[in-house]
Amino acid sequence: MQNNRSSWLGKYRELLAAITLFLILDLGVLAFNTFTSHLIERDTALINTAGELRVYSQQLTKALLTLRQELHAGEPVQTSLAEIGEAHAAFGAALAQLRQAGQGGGLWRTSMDATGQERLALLEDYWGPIETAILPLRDNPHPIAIDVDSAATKAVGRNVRLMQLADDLTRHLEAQAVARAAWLRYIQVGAILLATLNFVFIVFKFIRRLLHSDRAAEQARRETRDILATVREGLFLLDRDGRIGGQFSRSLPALFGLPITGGQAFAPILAQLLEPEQREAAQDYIDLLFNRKVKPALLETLNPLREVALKHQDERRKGPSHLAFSFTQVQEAGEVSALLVTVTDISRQMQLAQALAVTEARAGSEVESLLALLDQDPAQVRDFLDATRSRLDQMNRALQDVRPEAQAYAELINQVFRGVHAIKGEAGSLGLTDLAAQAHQFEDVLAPLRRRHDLTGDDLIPIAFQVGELRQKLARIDAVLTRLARLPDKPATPAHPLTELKKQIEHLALKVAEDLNKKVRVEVVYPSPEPDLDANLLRHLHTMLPQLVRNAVAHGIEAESERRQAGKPPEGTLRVEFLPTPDGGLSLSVRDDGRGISCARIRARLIELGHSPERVETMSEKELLACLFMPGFSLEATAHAHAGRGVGLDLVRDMAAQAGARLRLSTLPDAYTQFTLQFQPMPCA
Amino acid sequence: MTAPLTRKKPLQPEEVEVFAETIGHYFAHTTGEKARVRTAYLLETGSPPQDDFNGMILVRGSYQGSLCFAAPRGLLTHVLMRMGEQEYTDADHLDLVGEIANTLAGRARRAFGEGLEISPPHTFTRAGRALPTLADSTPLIIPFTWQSYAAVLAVHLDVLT
Repeated sequence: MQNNRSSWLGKYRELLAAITLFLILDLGVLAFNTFTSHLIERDTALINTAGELRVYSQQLTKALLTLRQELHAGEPVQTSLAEIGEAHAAFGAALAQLRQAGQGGGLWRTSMDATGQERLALLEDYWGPIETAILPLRDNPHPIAIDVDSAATKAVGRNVRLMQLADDLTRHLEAQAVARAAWLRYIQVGAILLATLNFVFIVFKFIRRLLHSDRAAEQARRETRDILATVREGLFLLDRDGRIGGQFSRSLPALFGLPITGGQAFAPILAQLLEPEQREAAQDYIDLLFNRKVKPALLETLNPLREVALKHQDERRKGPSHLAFSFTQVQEAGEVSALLVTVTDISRQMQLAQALAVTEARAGSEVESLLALLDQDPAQVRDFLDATRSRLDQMNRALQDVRPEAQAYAELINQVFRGVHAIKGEAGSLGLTDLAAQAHQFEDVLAPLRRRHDLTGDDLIPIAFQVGELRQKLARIDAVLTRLARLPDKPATPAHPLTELKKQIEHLALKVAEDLNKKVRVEVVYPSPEPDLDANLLRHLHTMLPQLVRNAVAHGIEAESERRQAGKPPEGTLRVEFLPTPDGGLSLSVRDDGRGISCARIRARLIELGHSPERVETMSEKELLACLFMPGFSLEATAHAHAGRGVGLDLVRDMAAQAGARLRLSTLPDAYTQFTLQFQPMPCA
Repeated sequence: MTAPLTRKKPLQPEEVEVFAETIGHYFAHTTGEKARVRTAYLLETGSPPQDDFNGMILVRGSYQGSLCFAAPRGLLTHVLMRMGEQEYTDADHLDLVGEIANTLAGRARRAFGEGLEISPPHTFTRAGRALPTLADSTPLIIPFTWQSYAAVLAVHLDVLT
């Protein structure tokens, strides 16, 4: 602070000195003017006084002559005596005044110069005899004639000379006053000139400094503008009121994917970008940053926005998926006046990190998949691969032929979603975890698109890529399968399809239960001897069964603790039953002894998803259960590997329709859920 | 002496989206109307689709393969008219697809780094001969619509690691 003050003084030192000098000169001229006016006043008074000596001498002489005449004529002399007294006193007073002026003294009085004093002394010498001669006449009402004659003679004899001397003194005083006035004028003019020069200097200096400051400010502004226009990071100042400063980097709106204006409140922006918990943490952290007592090093470690995933927003089409925020305190007078916020797009880094994690996970799941292949019936895996390849080809053709309309794009997304979900389900049941994980990743790409109503052709580019990725996975499995087929140690006879299916169901159910930390016992019941199954029916079973099994374990069967609370055994039971129907068809039921389906839960979920509460309340039980088969509807709020996409039952319904099968759902809350599929007998070839 | 081992992998969607955006912006800049992506799909079999006029660039380096923009005569003539051109010869049409291919080359250089070796645009008519491709992955086809016309961008690139 002290440094600031001294630098501030240093910056304006010259200007301050010049202004001080200007004021001193100004005040000096004012004082000098006052002094000069007093001198002129005094000089004028002296000149007048000197001039009056002449008059008084004349009056005295005249009065003495008149007195002599009146004495001789015996006339009254009082008037003449009074005039003599007045003239004498006035002359004496004037002389005293001049004498006093001649001696000087006091602030405004300077002594008379030598010539003046000499002339004044001469005048006094010449006045002395007259004054002596007049003395007998003073205060004497009956002067004697001889005294009057003597005084009149002296006055007459000296009057002319006395007047001459008074004139000389007057002229000398006038000359002196003129000389002094000229001198004073020069000084005044000089001082005013100096003050003017000083003023010009001040103005020049001030304007130059102003121009310099303007140039520096403009330069700084330009540099700031260039930096803010060029820098890739989002930069802005956040004030104590939580508002964004007037200047921010041009990249900021693009980073936020939102229009930004100076002075805008930051909290609503965070609300649009972050989930509520993240937003609260961010707000707390920002409040903490304005507390100067907290150590900056500690603050850095607490930053909840160092790496943050942005909330998905339907209306934000482009923009980063992840941002990094860093905050630097701006201190002023020992207080945190604002925060410098730096926003960096770390989407690419996060994608790379995720890709690395996925690659690492895949390396493991690839090995797992290849080992699982050894345990499967190669014909069945081959059948799955062919069916999957066919599905992918269908997706690719659908991509190729799609009409350029948002509605058609949305239908395509749902169609692809069902296909991918079927692949994921079957891959999971065959233990092909790598493929299932790839399908799950595909679903991650599709899920946000399904929520949008403004789809365009650009949005299909990642879908085409994902189709390619799945194809590559298939090709890899295919290659391994081909190599396995060449191995000499082949199974003697392939197992019956239902036996294989049973194995897959058990594997899938146990895998899902393990992943979700649940316990499940699987019962698969089918007639003996096993009936012959049509290839198409078998294909449908391969597609639908994993969905129903996954659904039963993920949604139906409760966690161990929940089951205990409900008075159930900790281990849930999943029963899959194949039964031939009297008409030659096949009935398949998938039943779990879990929590059942609560209509109240469906209602609550529908309201959560934005449906009108009034409409939801009036929905019948049948209508509510039908919602479970709607594309995108799930009772789970967040998706995970086994549930939450809202695709499984949609796929089952779609497949059932394709297979001409009847689908039934029966459920009892806290007791069971059962899906039954009744396949018609296959027409004879 | 053995050749260094390289593994080829497909591009990422974001890497292809920049090319789609480039085409869209090129049309927006020259005609005032953006070319829109209709869809994207994988080329099942055969060579990338060709049209009346085709502009192709070859890429070598950390990315290897080709980018080819194919458009019908009508579309290109319409664009030339919008650009205020008076001549509509085959050479003018080839120049236009060449310019679009060149724009793609510039974008590729910015997107993938200066170290990339990118050939000058090779233009050819339907009857002309396309350059051999350098990539093994499945080509990605991105059809565009502009007004009532259709054009195609074929992206056939491998990333070498």
